[in-house]
Amino acid sequence: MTAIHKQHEPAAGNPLLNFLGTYVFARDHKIIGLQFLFSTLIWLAIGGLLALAIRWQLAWPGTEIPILGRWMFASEGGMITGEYYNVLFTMHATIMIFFVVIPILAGAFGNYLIPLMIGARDMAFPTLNMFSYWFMWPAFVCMIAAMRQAGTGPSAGWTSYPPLSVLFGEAQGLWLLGLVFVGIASMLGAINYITTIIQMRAPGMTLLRMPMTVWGMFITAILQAFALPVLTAALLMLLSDRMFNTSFFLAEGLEVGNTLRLQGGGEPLLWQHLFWFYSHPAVYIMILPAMGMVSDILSCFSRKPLFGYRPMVFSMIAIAGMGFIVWGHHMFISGMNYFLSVSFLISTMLIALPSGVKVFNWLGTIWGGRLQLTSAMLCAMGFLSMFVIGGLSGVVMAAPPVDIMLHDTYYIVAHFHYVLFGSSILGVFAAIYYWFPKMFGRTMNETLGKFHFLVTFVALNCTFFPMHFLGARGFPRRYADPYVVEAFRDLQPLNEFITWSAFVMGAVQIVFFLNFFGSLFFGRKAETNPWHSNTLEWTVPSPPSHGNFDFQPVVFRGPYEYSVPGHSADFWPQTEPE
Amino acid sequence: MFLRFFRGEQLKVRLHGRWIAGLIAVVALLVNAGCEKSPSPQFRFNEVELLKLQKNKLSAGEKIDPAYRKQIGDLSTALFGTPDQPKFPFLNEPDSPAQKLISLDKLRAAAGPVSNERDGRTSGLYRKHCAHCHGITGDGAGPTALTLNPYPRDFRLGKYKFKSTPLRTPPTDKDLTTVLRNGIPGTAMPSFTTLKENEIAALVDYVKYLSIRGEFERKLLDEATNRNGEPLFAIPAGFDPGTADAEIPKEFEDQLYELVGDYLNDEILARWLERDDGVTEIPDAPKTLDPKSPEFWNLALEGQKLFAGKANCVQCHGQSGLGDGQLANYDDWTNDWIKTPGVDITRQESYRDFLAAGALHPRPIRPRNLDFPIYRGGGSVGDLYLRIKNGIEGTPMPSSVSLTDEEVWAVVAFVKSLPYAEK
Amino acid sequence: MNRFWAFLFLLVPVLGIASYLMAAFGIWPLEGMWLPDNYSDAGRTIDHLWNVIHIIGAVILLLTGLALAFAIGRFGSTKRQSASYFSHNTQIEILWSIIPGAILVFIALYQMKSWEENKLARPTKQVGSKTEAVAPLVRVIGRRFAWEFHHAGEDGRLDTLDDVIVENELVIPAHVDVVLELESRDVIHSFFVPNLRLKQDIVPGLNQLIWFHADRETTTSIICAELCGWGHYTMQASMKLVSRSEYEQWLKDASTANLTTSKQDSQE
Repeated sequence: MTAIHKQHEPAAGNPLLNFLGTYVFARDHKIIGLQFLFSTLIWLAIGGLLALAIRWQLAWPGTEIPILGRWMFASEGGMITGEYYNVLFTMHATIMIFFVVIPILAGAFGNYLIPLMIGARDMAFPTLNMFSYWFMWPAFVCMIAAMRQAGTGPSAGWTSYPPLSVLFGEAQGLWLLGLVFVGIASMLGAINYITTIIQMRAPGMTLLRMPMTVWGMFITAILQAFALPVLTAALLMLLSDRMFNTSFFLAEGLEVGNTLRLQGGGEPLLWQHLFWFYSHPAVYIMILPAMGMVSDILSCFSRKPLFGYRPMVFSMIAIAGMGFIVWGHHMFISGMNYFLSVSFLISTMLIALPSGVKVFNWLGTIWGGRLQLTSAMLCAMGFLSMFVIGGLSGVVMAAPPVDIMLHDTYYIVAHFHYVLFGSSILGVFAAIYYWFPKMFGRTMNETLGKFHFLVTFVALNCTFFPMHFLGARGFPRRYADPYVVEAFRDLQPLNEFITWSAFVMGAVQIVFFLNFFGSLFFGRKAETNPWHSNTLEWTVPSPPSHGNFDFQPVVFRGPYEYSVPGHSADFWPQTEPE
Repeated sequence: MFLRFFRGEQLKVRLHGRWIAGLIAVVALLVNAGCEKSPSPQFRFNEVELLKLQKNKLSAGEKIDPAYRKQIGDLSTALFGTPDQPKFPFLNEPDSPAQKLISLDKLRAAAGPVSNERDGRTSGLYRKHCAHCHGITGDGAGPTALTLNPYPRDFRLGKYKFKSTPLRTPPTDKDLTTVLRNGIPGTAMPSFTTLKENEIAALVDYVKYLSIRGEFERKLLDEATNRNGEPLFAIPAGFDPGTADAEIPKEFEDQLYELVGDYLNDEILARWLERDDGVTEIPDAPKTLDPKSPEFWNLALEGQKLFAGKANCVQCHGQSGLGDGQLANYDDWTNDWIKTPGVDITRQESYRDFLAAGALHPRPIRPRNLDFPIYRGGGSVGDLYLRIKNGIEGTPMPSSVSLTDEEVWAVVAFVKSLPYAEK
Repeated sequence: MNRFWAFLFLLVPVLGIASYLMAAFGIWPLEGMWLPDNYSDAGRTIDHLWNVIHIIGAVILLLTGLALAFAIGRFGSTKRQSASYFSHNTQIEILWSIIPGAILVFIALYQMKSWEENKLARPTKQVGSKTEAVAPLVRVIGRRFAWEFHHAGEDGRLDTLDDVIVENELVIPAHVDVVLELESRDVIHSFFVPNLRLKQDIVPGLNQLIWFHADRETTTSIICAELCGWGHYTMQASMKLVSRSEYEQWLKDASTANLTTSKQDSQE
């Protein structure tokens, strides 16, 4: 380990090289984690603004959109066109999934926390780790370039179903290329995490003494390693359909652009199978790390051991394993064999069980504790509360007959925003409030944090809960002007309400950003272990120095020994000898 | 103080104070940026036509006096208003024939920014449903136009394809309504069948308005090339047409109409006013055109002979009607500028200035593939009769003056049978 | 402060369930925010399933929500001196694995019948002594951005000269089993009729069949539910459910109208 480590000591002498080596082309897992964190926070803001533009269009379609309208469509009256609306929601989803949720969970927190929590001096492959961040940049460039092609940007939805994504939209190729880069970045990260967690745990850190965060990251990494190749292959096939006139996903005899395409023989459904074979596990990639982090936070602020550590680990493994055999529930009405739907229905129902067990275990964790209602704890409990709603609406849609009504309506939108925003992003907020002192040596402001949580929590429910009702009415997704359909005209007031709520939710994130960046410079100095937590990262100074641990930590017990009867303090760090 | 605030000391005192002021400032800044209205949209000047005329009529290097551009713009605005406040000349005059053509109320419902239905007042229909393809000016170059094939219609030539009137005659209101209701199958033009009757009527009037405005602008541009720098019109003293956004004073209005009356009435409006007289009567179809009739296939065979022979349909539509004959033709909207000297369709450098002026990249027009039972102008035998008899305006499809009605029906029978013929 | 947060978290299940009840029973301001009227026989099973799963979900939401809010109120007090120390309880863990598991298996099995009715069992009819699958009545073709409906003419077969082709309006008989054949010309579309609980993606290259049995004569709309390009939202058609005899009369009229005059005249 020391040998690996010596290689990336900062170059002595030249200050510029020093700076570049330390902060830009960094191989220190902590710096890479922070690079991921800052990049994804910027993308979070961009993706959020896109969402607000979408909301504007749904509330007041055809009217001039503020700011955007002035420089995009001024000559036509500043309104969003149907084509551009498609670009907006495509890019919103792409950015939020591939540039925010996945990289902030796996990239930012995975990188930062894994070595610290298992007692390693760095990742197993620091240079690979650096590349995993820098491979995000070609992706960023591709997406920005694609988005800049106003009117012809990527507009086939984040699912990019062919033939639409093959035959139309000039920037779709760039979009596909961007995703290939994201895939490479994730793959490099995943290999690193798996190796690090298997090989570099401190003495005494058995697998079942690892904090849930590390378990979450570990299983996520395995999911990525096994699911990503499928997506990458599918993306390259789609790209070759676009660029080299192959027909993996194109049926024969399509009438396109005024002409009849004679070549064909491919199968559009094949893409859906390949895509969801990755993207369903990706759903868990987007939630499992948050589940792990929330487990740690709940236990710490309840001052109580995590309830059912082993069931928690096993249910996570079960979710990951079964995650590979449920992709068909995205395709109940896609034209896939309907008998196949039945088997996917059963596996989908089964996967709800471990998720349910986790919820009960979290409740068991806080039950009887001595809760400290910090911002991090509130966000973690918000995660729990929202995850229940997201999970329950998932069961509704998992019933194929009900899915006939709900597929591609706003019910789906409500469901995955409850899971992805209500759960994952609240989990991310919790993690930021919780680990900020460790990352930057300063503490975020609690009052602002609680205010931010309160308004976000209320506004997110006002935004996403009514969408269930829109979905019940059959209000379809991805409609630039739904009120063209007579039956949906009376839904405009509800949509206006949702939009106002979304604006409030967007505005209150300004508070979060002010708190985050303000606290970077003016926050209260943090001590080594401000939350009286047990895990290894809290035994080193905040922020930890290069190389993390001055001497090899030795682990004596599991991570959740809080309020142990007979012990002097209400916490018992993992490294403290008996 | 700011510093101590973030350290979380004495929170109650500090939550008021600078913090709130800062937040309000940020919010105010955003609100201010968001609420500031962008300039209201204007009709685009016909740069392509200007460029074309310049290249056609003037010697190399010579340019049309830029003063004309302002004159034409001012005059169009004075007569036709802006996209937010449309006007139409002669409407105020008693018994003006223009009143039969255009109603100001309908124009206002179609123009302007999109209104919220709950205001109880409709406006912005055109912007909501049409402008993203056809453009605010009706030049067929809206933001979505580039992605479409075929391109959206440019109304400014006053030419329409699917109508019941002969070539060079504008379509009737009924024709335009039909297109709006049914859409144009096989193109990006959707059906607007869910719009209310009065909304469709408003859009029909607005389309006519954009056409007439466009035709007028083209006429003025053409005139300007003949004037050698003299002003186009003697603008009445004391009146600045450039500011004519609102109502024009009555005395100026009369003078203005006097000035342009000949142009508008004789060359443009007359064409539109007389269009209803020219509607082609569709004779009763022969009984043999019914596919159940035993004679049907004889008629179709006769049609096939005409298709390949006298009517010469095969030249473009190909021997088997797959639309695979002559493929290198362009429609009138493209021909309008690609025929300019110096433009070579095979070399993009030669017409880059046109593309910069707003022309869409030229694409050849494709003869219809008759193997699909889908026809852009409608699929009834009557519709097909009109297409064959009158031709299709703006396209290489000619009117078949040489065919008798019986022969036209025979071709109709053959065309109808093509999708179902044994291959 | 813990009371305040407990109250906030209590609001989630309470307001969530209350709003669902308001929507279901048509109470202001959520009146009409429920499943649209159902015109189809098989659709009734979908509505029933929706209700059952939502009731089960509401119970779970209420229990977990109350537990969370109670825990915050009770254990979040700053006066609390110490936390209790326990990390598992085998009995309760078995209980909360088995009960939800049983509920999920119940939900899974309970819907099989409905799925069969909606997507697996194509309606049949008695012809003499034989049972035959009902043949498709209309071919629906999705195209960017319009719907084409090909009705078989008098000969009862598609792809013949007397086909009646109508755009954007589907006239179809009610009170009988109707089978539609779906096709796409270009990209994936989805045939969605909310009132009939009917949705089916149309994949180019595949021919899909869907069926329904409408219980009333009325008008509703067909919309596209799969992103098909910039005009996705404009891709809609109206659907007229009429009696069998009216349908036949309409078909006859439409085929004559097709043969004699232009479409615009027939509209008057």
